[in-house]
Amino acid sequence: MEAGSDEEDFQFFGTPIEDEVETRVAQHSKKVTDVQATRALPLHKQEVTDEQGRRRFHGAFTGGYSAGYYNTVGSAEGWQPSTFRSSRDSRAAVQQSVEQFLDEDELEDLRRTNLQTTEQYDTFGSTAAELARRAAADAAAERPSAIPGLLPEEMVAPVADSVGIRLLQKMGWRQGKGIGVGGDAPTAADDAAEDEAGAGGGGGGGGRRRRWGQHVSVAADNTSLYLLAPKTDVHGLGFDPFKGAEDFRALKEAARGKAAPKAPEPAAKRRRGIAFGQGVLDEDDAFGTLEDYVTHDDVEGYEETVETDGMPRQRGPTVQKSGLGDRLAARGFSFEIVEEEEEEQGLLSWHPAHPKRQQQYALPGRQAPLLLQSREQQVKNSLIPGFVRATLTVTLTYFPPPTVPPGYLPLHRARPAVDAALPAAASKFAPPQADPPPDAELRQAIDSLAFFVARNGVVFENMARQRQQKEARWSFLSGGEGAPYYRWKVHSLRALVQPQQQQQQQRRGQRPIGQRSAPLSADERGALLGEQPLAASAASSWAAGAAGHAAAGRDAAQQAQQQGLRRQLMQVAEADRSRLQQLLSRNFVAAESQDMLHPGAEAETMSGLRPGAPAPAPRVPAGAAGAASAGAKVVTTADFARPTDDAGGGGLALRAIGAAAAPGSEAPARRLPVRRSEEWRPVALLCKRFNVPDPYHGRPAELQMSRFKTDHLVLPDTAAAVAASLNSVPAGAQDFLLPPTVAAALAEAEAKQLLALEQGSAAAAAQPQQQAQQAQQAAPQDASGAANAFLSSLSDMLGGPSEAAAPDGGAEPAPPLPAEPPPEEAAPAAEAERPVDLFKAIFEDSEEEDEEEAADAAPAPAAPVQAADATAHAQQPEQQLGGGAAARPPPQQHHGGLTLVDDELARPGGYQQPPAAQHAQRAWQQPQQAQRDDDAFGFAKLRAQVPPAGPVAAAAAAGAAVGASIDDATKQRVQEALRALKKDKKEKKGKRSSRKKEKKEKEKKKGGKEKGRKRHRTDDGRSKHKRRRGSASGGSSSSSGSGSE
Amino acid sequence: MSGAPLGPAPPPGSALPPNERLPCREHAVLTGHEGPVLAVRFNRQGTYALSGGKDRSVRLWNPHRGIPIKVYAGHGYEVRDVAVAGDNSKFASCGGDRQVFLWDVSTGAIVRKFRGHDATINALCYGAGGEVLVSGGYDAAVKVWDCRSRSIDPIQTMRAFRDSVTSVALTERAEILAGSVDGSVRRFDVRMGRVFTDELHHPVTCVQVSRDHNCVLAACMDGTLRLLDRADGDLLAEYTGHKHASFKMDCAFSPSDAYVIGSSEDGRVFYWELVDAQLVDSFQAHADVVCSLAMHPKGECLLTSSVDGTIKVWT
Repeated sequence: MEAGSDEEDFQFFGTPIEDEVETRVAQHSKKVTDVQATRALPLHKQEVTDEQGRRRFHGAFTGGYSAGYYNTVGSAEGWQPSTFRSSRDSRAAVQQSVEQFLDEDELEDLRRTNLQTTEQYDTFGSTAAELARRAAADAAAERPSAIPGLLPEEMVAPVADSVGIRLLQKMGWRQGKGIGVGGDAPTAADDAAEDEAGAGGGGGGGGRRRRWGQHVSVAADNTSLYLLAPKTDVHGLGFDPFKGAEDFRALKEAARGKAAPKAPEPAAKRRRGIAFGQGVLDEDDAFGTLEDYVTHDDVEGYEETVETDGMPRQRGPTVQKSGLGDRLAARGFSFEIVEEEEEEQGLLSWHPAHPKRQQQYALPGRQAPLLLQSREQQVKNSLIPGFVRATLTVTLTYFPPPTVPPGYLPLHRARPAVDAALPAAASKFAPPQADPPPDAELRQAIDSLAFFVARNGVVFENMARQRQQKEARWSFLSGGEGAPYYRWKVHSLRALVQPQQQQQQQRRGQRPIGQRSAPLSADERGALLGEQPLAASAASSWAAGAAGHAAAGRDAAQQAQQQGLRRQLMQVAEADRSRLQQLLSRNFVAAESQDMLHPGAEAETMSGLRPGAPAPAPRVPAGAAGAASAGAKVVTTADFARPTDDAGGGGLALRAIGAAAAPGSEAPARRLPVRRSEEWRPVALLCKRFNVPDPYHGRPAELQMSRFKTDHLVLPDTAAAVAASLNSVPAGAQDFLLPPTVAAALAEAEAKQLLALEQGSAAAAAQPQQQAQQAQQAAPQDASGAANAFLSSLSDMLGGPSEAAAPDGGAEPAPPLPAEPPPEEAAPAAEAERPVDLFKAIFEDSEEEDEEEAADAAPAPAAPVQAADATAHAQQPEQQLGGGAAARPPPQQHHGGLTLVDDELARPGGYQQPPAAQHAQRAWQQPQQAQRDDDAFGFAKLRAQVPPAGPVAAAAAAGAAVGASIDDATKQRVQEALRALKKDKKEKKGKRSSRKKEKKEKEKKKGGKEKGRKRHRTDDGRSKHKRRRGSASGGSSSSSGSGSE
Repeated sequence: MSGAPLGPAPPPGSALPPNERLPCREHAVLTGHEGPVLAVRFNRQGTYALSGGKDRSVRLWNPHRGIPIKVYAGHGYEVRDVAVAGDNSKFASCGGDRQVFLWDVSTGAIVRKFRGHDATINALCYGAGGEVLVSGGYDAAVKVWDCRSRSIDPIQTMRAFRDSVTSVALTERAEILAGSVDGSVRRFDVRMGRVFTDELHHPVTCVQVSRDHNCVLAACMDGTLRLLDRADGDLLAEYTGHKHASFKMDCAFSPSDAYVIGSSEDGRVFYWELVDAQLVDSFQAHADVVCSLAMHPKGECLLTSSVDGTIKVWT
């Protein structure tokens, strides 16, 4: 206190001499600079300080870095080692935390809550660039250019930074900043002076580096984009139309300004009056809207002060400068008088809640100005800003909802389609054919309208009638000229169009494959398969037919019916054939399908291209022959001939070509080119690529071929096979398609099975099969040779002809084979191998199949065996048996039920499967499927119609009894043969396996050589068999082993 | 060949002198192919030539200096045709691989492969300003491939043919021409959405369009080149005298469309006057079949390739 009082007595003059030490300390402990400012410096000038302002890093040669307490390990209290205290007793009490292990610096780091600028508000970062860009965009918007808007930079600018930018960034430059230092940053001259001072000062303690402390240099702002004002007039470059006539320039600009948003008035032109805050707010441009206000206290005195060039000019008699404002201001109020018109201009900004407004007029040191508003304005302002209270009241008329009639059901029932009824009606009232009107134009109009009406319904006609009422040309709609022709035309076109439409609708209505709600009926299925309905099929159902035909006999009328059936079947086959050929022509090289279509036609072109075609002698040019051997580019199939054809020799190519040339010479001397033209739909993309409008634009796509599997599969039953078999079997002798005995038995069996199904007993279901089997046995003439076929197929199954033939030959020398094993019998066994395939493949998609598959699968594998048994039983004595191997059908016929047709069709008539065979096969399928009402293909129906042969049926019944005695003998034979086969196979297998064992052992022995005798001993001990074999072969190995020892 | 207005009138201004010089002097022999050279093509400017052959390679030549530049190996089968893109940056080749290979000229890398043909591809052509590739093959199909998108499927497949397609060409009017062994020349008019089939009754090995796009030249295997009117399919002229019965051989127009160039299986090259179909000149170019020939777009030289593995430059 005393000292303080003492000091008060002193007077100080001048500036005190600075303490050198102090300055040094001060120098070393600078005030902590703003991090942001430090960061703005180049790297070598950035300095890290601790919280006390001391330099953190001195460099390796000047003391390292400061740490701890003034670079010591001590603390403010000195160095105090903590005394050890055992925590043994109070282990649980010890609570360790991270903080205990942290340095104070680290603690500070931990506790510090860092406020950092985010990217969004980082004016130094990319936001600045964005702002600059936006500013440029604004500038560009002000000055309209030919290209609206800015060129989107994203499209032009490269994604990666350029090397220059990266370099700049390394040097401290940041996005959005200009290049170089801006503002009050130290200039180069300053730096140089500073350096000089530093050098001159020598070791003088460093001295002050700069009087005002270190500068924080901030990079220059980015230079704004320089935008060229676009030229919008038609004057020459640099021409100023207002040169020397400045008045007009103002006029012009005024005229232009009307359209453009009004620019703020220059401050100089402001009207001046009495207002507050004038001086403070005057400079700010944002207050351009702030007008000066004139109070009109005196009614008679109109006063206005116009300030021009700082000289107030008075107009009017009196100017009263002191109004309400002055008086209020005198009492310390800050206020504004709001004028009406101003109010209307900028309601928003005058709203009391508008923050800008209040802020704007808050004078420094004062509160925000009090807004004086009239009552009216207050009412107004209570509304949403910018809105005016409505003066007009609108009353809305209210309509009550309609009353629902009592008993109304909210259910829509679709009326039957009108169009569906039309054709029937139309056919009833078919208009007579009429001649077209002579006027071609009228006729065309009628034709086109008729087409639309036929396609789209009568609605179209009504529309046309309404629209064209007045025109005479359209009088045919209302009975004028051409009316009869129009009616006839519509009718005939409808007859054409409607079936197509229905088909399409059907197709559209169809669910995706595999989701059929109900199983297809036989007719539908037949339609899908492209079959034509058989004449009598509609009338008879399977069950009824089965019952009826079991008893009925064959008569002449039925024969005639059969002829008709046969013809139709042929048509079916033909249709199938052509359809398949069409399909094939898409899938295969055309030349081949061509051959199938026209075996003889177009020989002059095609024969040359067909590898297998018989060709005349080649006419090979000498040079060409050599070339061909050298492998030159030959045009036709020669180059690409299949391997089998290649085997024919290199000459093939030339031979084929020679063939092509030869008929050409025979052809008429000169044939002119023929031009054809067809529609061809280019894909839309192709048109696009060729830069051509799509000629088919808007037209519906071509009708796709249906995707049923049956389209790509061939049913041997319906196609070539039927045709072939019908040809091959003499018409008189053939019992049409189905052996009557089998048919009869089938009918019986199925009828019974139906019964059995009704009873629901599984045992009963098996019975009909047996009966059918017996019936089959009773048909010896049909089953003749089936045993052969069976055996042959069996041998195929078991492994090769040699093995099959062996047991037969061994048992007894085979008698001479039948000259021609009847083809009818050859196939069934082959077919019977996979009886279910056909059905499976066709009905793979349908749902009901899945359920039935299980049922089918069980009896199916048994079928072939049964068939074999049946046929074998029915077989005549043993001389046929030996022919089994020979009767084996050619390998092509071992396809399952389904084949891709190329083979069969390529050889018309080559498909040797007779109808009897198919039906024998089907006989085994049918009983299991009899419960299906919707039997496939209409074959069931076909069968139902085929009357059983009366006399033969009787014989069959007898034969069933006789067959039993024959049976045992043949059965035994077959079984013997089977056994022999198996045995033979087994033997071979055994041999093979023993040989294998031997080999294995040998290898083992070899491997064990090095391991010595011990191994051999244990080896020998394993099994007798092995030992026995091993002793034979292992003798040498053991001896050699001992030799090595 | 009398009476009817034959042949196109040379386009005004662009015509070479009517007495244009037909190249028949041997300028250089390009050797390198080990086997028959099945195709030789100029680039659009006529500065370089590409060839493909049975040795499964494509070779780039400078025919004017007579030097080989680069060998492109990558084909697994013989190369049957080559087509150079308009900007010379890429070229396409095809052949026994059943794929169209798209190559980068400078790096020699295979840029893309278009799969889809079921058999050897015989012919290849760029179209629509290099945006599509058209190929025809032994599978009796012409396929159009998209070079712009990354799609690997053909834009469209034309299967109207009954036999191997030997040659494809494009006109500037959005038309695709294809000749086939079935004796037809088919013109697929994209703009009209129609296909016009000209039955020539003899296998066609090469189809060329005249420079004015009014005529189509077809090399038939009955030893005749036939000139057809593109628009209505009339036979305008027939050029005979050469041997053509077994091999795919090319034909060409001279740059002024005044002459027709054909080759023969005995190794000769023939020039006919286009209008009156008179044989103007012929010379022995090779000892063996002339597989392919290409005329310089400005008529400076003619390239012929042969079974003997050589390409000859004629000026």
